[in-house]
Amino acid sequence: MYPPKFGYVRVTSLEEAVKVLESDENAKILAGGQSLMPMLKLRLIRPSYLVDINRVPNLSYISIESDRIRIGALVRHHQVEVNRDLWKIYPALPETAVQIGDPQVRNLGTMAGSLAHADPAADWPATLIALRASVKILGPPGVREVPVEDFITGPFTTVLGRGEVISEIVIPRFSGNVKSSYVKLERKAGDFAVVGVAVMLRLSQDGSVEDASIGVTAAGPKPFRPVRPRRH
Amino acid sequence: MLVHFLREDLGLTSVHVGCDTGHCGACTVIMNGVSVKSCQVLAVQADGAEILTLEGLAKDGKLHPIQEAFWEKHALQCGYCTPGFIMETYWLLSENPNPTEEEIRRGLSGNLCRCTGYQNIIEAVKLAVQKLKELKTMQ
Repeated sequence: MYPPKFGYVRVTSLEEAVKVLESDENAKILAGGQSLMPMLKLRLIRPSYLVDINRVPNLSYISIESDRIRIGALVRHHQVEVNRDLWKIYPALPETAVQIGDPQVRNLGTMAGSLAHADPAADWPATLIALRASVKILGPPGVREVPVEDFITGPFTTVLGRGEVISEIVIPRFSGNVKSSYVKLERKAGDFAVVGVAVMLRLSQDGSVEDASIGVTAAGPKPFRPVRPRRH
Repeated sequence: MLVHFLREDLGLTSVHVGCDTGHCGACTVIMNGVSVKSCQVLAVQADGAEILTLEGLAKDGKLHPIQEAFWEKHALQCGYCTPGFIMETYWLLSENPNPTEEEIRRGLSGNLCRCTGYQNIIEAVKLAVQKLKELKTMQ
């Protein structure tokens, strides 16, 4: 199987990517390519240009700060999988990473690319919604930040407008006793989720739940936050 | 795609086209130190990259310990998936030189064997772990 013909542009900065995307609305970002390549081969999409951001320097960071975690646009799933600090702070993140596709896919596929692709059965959105993460978007007018639950608007559809590209994902950190987990039901190893649920809990000193945040994927046209989970 | 460039332009025919849709792992190669499915990477993306295929494993006419282990444990039937399995094993053991059986199974979950020779493949990876350890202590 061969993809259709397309042009290829390798950029060295996200600003350059924005310029190309702004000048041609059928151009598409190439990050990990692990969803993009199958779609090209199946001729589900016919981009004019692929804008390869893989050589853009300094986009592969997982920056752990006191009040937030910043994840660069080129961070691969595997980097999240093996990050010891994330296993301690938010186990839901590496737990999600290890359940995506297979090792080869995780070596190339990116968190930002997964969000931009917006497959309704993708794993990351459930976890990022539960962790109240947001997407930082670079576009022609500058930078804006959108919560993950608002970023994805439908199957394979996001709020990304012409010329816009994800620059990083921002995950807030909370003080106190914070627990998180991601659980996925799949038909076979490495498959898309039949349903995936992520939960973050903040516990008070007596162990009672102070705050609960839930994200669900593959249970509707887009991932969502159940706003009124029933109390038991 | 990179797989076509490796096979048709460079003649590295150990890199097999299996499913061509990113499911089977027969085209697995090591690109800049990590395993990738070369049917899911554009050849142009690999410009300047270091690529290791099965052809690069044997040194001075001597099989790599992983290759020896696959041979000794008869970890193949038709052999079509074998180069991909060996390259993924190469990466798995470079990341985790002492994997549990569970970790081996998870580590090879991106490679399919339609002869269903998985049991011997797992045994071969365990033997490769031993062989690589012995080699390390000898050095």
